[in-house]
Amino acid sequence: MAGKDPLLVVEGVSKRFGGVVALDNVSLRVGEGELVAIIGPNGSGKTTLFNVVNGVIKPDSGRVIFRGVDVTELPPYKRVEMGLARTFQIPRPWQGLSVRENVAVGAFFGSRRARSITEAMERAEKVLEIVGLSQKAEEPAAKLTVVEKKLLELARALAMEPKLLLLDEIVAGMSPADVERVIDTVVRVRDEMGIAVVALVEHVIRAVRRAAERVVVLHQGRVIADGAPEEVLRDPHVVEVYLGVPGA
Amino acid sequence: MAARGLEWEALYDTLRVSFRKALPALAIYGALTIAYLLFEAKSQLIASILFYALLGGAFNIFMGMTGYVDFGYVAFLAMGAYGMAIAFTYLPAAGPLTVLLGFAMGMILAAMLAGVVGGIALRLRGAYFAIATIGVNEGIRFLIEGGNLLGGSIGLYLAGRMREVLGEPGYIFAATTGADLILILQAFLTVFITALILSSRVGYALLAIREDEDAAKALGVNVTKYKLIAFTTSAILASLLGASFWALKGGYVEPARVFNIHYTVEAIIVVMLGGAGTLLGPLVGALIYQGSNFVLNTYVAPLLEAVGIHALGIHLPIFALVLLSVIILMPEGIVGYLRGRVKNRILREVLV
Repeated sequence: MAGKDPLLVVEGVSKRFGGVVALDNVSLRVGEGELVAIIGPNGSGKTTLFNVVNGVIKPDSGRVIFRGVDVTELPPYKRVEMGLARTFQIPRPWQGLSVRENVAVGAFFGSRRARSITEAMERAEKVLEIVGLSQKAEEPAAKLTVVEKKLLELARALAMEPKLLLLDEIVAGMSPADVERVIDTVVRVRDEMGIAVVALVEHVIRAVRRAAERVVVLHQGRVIADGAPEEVLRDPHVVEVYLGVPGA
Repeated sequence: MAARGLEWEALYDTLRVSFRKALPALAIYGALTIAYLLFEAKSQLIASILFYALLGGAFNIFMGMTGYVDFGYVAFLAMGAYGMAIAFTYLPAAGPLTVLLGFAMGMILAAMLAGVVGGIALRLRGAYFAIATIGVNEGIRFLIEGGNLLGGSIGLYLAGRMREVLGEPGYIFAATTGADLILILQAFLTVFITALILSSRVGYALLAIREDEDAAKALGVNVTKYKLIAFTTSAILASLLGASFWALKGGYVEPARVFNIHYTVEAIIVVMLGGAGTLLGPLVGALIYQGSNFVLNTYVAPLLEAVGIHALGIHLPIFALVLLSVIILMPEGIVGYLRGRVKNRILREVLV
């Protein structure tokens, strides 16, 4: 990211809901093709941060700059056109549509929009192959398991051919084997498609530590650490937030 | 140049896929057309089935694909009927072209109403949208009646003007076979437009909105734009139906009839019965709904009448039960239900 403009810049973003400060002067940068994990306990403001970046929520103050453009006031669909895609913590596939149709919507509305149904379907097939859901293409999304729904979310986002992919708790609640599989897929996608990835994770698991190049720690709406995984996870303040300090 | 070539390729591809999707419905409409031409005694039954298929077909494009229920739907048919009536009443100089002028006028009125109502009410979700739209229908009706506009509560009498403008034979043709043929053309048009929507970005946007509007928004769908496209398309197709079936064929446009919410309810029945968001759904719904109406009112009602039970309109309580059962047992409607259970590839292609 050195020298070049970063892909995403979050600059002094604050957001409060009534008396609760969800985000307190949060700043961070993500470079092209970077894989960043944002960690923090429940309620630390991770999802709010995603919603601000994605445009679902407008911040009270601060700016969001994506690909050099101030997008703070832009609606979500404009940001998507510019190459921003996301997945939801609780998967939200369109239940009544088939798996392939779900992904086709992504292909129709991404940064490189499919021009016809055949093109959209072809891209859907390709992406389903990448995440390993080809066998389920015809099934209604409602019939998938939780893990498969998360993979579908990933496929739908990938079909948009984004520059930046926001993953909200994509491995939460998965078995270690599934976690490995999903994280390997994410890393492969980053390597092959050159997509920058920002992943929200509640707990730092080994796989995340291995895959992420940078870890940002959020606590009570503030960034308390930002750096290489090993370094950040040795930080006494981070350890305190996660493990608590006896007698404190 | 290359990009241009690709655009044409994409357009051709969309048209090809749409046509394949539309084929089963086009075939059934084709059969109905042949039946209409061959069996004169049943031609009015067929025309009334076409009316319901189109009533549902236009409604389906908005309600079926987005899941939003527009209780003011019938107002769009009324706009079409008034458009045609205005053309014959105030602009008769165009001769036979007055018919085209009438359709154009109806479409413009409907599109304007859809733009205003949609631009405001489509920001509301679900039940709030439904409630807001009921008011629109009643509001326009009372505006016309109370303000004594366009003939007030008496309405506009077209048949006389049509006779003057088109001549006696022209009038008779326009009000009978002519109007029915226009109805058939509209059926083909509605099917093809529905297929085109279902095979393109617009259709995928609408289905995503129906299934989860917030997810659609986050995934880059400009939800307001696509809802408005569907709403306006549905309104324009509905206006064509009002103009041909009520104005041309009926010869008389009165507020109490063309703003009657009963038709909105029937549109809901037809779409829900056949399968919301499917291509064949409104047609299947109309065949069942109007087919049973006919049987119940022509054969069953006289039998009941003979034993002293007044039974005209017997289809209404029966369909209340039918609709209730469909919503509980197969919320996807008949076509949707079958498609979900058929494994055969060819049958799946047909059940769209």
